[in-house]
Amino acid sequence: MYRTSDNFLLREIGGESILVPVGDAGVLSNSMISMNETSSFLWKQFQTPHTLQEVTAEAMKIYSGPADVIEREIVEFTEAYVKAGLLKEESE
Amino acid sequence: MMKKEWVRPLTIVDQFVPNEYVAACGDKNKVYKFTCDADGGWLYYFPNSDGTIDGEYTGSGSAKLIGSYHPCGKTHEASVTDDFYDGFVDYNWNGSMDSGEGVIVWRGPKNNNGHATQNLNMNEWETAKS
Repeated sequence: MYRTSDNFLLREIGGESILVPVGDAGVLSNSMISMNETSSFLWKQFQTPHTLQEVTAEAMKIYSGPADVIEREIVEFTEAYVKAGLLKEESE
Repeated sequence: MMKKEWVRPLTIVDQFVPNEYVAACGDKNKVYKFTCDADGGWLYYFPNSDGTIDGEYTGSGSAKLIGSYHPCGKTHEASVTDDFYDGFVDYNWNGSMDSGEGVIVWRGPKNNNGHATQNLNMNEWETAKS
């Protein structure tokens, strides 16, 4: 189960989704993090703790595309965001 | 409801340099000769200090990954007012700090880079006026 780090706030400015570092944002403290629409969707999903399966199922309801690609890219997104400290893994 | 087409999630990170600089009195222009000499590997640092900078971490904060690091072998002039951190190079790839992996990390003049030394006694570091 994963959830977003409290050290980043999502702001939607001029149609763009931007993560603003607050608190201890580590190496990303002095950064502006822009996300495309699907990244923003995933971020919003993880604002409350969710499993990869839950988020993938939600994505399938809203988006069309090959299920294996969507699934794989959500896993890649999650791994990258965990590594960067943007997402935290939580026990269920 | 019409479904939207899935697009690969993308994230773009733009780093900027803070424009505020506060120098400590008496330390202005004083620099450490920081030799980037730790053996290469995945470099981590502890942003939340444990109170001492000695390449060992006894605090409760978590390590942050800086990235793949290679020693540049250069001696940098690092302002004594810069932040230095306990850190480690993860030679055994287990994501945690183990014996023999401790380093002191300097993030560079813009605080956005990764330099590491295995000389863990800052009192021994050569200093100079820049």
